[in-house]
Amino acid sequence: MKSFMSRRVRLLALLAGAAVVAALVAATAGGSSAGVSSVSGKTATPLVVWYDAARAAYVKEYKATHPHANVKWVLYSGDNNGDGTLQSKFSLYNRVGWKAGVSPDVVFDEENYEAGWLGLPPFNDLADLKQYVPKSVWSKDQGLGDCLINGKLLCLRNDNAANVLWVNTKLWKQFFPSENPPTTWAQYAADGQALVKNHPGYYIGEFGQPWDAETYLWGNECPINQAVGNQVLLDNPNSPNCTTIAKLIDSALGAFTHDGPFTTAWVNNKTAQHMVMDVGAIWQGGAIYPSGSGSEGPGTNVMAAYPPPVATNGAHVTGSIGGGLWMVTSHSSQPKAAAALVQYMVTSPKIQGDPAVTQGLPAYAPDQDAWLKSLNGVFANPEATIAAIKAAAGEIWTGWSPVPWSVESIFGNTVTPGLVGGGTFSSALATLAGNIKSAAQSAGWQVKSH
Amino acid sequence: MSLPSAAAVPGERIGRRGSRAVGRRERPPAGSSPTAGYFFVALYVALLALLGIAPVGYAIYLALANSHGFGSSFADAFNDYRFVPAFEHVLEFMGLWLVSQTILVVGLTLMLHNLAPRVGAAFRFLFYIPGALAGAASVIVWLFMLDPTASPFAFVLHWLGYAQFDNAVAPGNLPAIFAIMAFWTGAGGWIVVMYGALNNIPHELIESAQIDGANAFKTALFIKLPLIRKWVVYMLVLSFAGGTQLFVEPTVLGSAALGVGISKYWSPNQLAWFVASQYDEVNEAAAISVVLLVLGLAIAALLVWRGRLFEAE
Repeated sequence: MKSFMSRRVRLLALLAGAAVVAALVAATAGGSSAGVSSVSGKTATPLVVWYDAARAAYVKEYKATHPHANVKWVLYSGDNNGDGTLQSKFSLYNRVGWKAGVSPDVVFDEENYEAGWLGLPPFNDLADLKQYVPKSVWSKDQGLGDCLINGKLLCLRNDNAANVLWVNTKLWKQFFPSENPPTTWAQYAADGQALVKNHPGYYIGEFGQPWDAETYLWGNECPINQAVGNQVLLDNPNSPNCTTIAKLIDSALGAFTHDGPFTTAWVNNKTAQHMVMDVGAIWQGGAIYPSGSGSEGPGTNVMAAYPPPVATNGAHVTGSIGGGLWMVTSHSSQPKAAAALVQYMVTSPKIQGDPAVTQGLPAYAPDQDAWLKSLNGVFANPEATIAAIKAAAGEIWTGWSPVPWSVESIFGNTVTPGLVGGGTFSSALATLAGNIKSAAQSAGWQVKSH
Repeated sequence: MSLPSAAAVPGERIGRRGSRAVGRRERPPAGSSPTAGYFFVALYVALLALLGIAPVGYAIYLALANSHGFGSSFADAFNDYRFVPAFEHVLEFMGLWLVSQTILVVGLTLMLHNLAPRVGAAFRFLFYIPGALAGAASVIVWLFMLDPTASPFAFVLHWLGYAQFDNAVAPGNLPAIFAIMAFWTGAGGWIVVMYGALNNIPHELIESAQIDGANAFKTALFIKLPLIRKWVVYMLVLSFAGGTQLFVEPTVLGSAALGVGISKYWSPNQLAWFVASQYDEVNEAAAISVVLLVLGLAIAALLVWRGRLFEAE
């Protein structure tokens, strides 16, 4: 999952991993099985599973518990940073034909919106898992807003990347001795203003990174990327759900850092140690706050998770950053076996309940308690932290839809330059919405503004 | 100075200047059969047809054959909201790059040619070194150069008001950044080529100009420059075609900037790849490629014609 790797590591992986992709091209284009392992069952067609490096431990576990499974494991980029590997491979298979035992049956995808890309026209390459996975199982998989598309279940979420409010308890006590951490965005912004005034150089969040729309807009039910029908998008930046949050952020703009986590600036400026609080994904706690790591954090022992701020319309919702998806291709010759493998990966306590195997909070709720136990002793206020994480995990707003364009990349390309140059969030909203509209129309969608 | 096979090198127009007739074509050496020549040319033609002409033909076919009607791929391309910005980006880049490359390469070569041969050789080697880091490798170097927190020239970036990488690679700076990258990758090689061309100018010609009272500057401007003009045109033709097809630099920079500031369809070539690989719009992609092809051919034809590149004496 992209989110678990630091940006620096991702960059290195990207550059070095080009060779891996090239090898994959050779392996798949040639129709040979070079570089992949096939287990027994010489006559039967193997199940082809594409997985990413962070899922290697899953594969090891699967092999241990399924010694006779006939699976061809193929390591690929995971579509890391939306690199487009899956789109280009799938369109090539659509051109030359999907071939059992060669083209993938199961795919792990690091981009949380891509079921809406690969499962919709012109691709239509994903199977509806409702046919193969019982509802009693998939209904306990959280964050399915990314997978339930036009009534079909086009993927299962691997992990839950809901946003919580991460608070540096030490700094909080120092700067706000008589206050509790904010529960609303208005309080959050007011605390930011106080910080700008009394303790400049300390922050209540980062702003200007590609995923910020998923933090502040998704987390406030802002309808600028909401599918309201088959290839119909609601894109309304004038909704109060968008404008109120933008105004609140703008009112405390000085309390947001422009440094992106894991960049050299972030490390050099020790930005993580200056974050009094930050609305961010569950996984961020263990990824950007450890001390002495590449991110120069304050140490996880001073960090505690609190519930994310309540939306300005009063709804208890939150956004979600990153996380991964398991998908079955609609061209699979053995969809049942493929879906069974996906179900095992997503639900098995041996994988999802074991923090040594999986780094993120399991999306499958029944496995969460076992995994959460591992947080004891890691963060401050462990009980409250675990409770906040569990609650937020069930509050992801489903109105931020999986679509065939990347809001992250639109945000990064069109909004960030303005923000880094001193612009406001309010003025960026129209730019963001306008670019989402262009991308949607260009992908063949109808766009509504209210 | 001129080599025996210098027919294609710019000594040839000297005759017109009423000096000495050194530009005559050499006859093939007696006794050699033309069969070997035809064989090698045929081999090249076969590969050219297979790997050069056929893909172009396929692109033209894809651009024209579209279930939505003849020419609709071009309409799709022209109406694509990313089409005009992509061409604007590349035109801005080309303007900066071609002008600076032409002036600096020609100027530096003419100056080098006036230095003592050993000093000139040292400088030529020095100028060539950055060219060894081509394509993706040069982008990696520039990623560090442009990051105020890592660059050895951070003080320059700070002086320009860039506190972080995102400031340095702001959208407005990108054409200039790619122009600088392209200049350092290509200029050294072209200086070597131009220097070779200057070496083909007969020494007697330079001497007679000096006897006529031309100083170094006048010799460079009125004698040497006109004689290497075809090589300048040749450089422009190749650079134009290469420049409009800019792909690697913005792609690598975009990956490294982690989605901040530069889109995946910054240049037309990137846009063609993006719509083909991400949205299966191969017809539109082919149309964009054909536009690039026509543009490259048109400019090349113009330069060849205006620059009288293929004219024989």
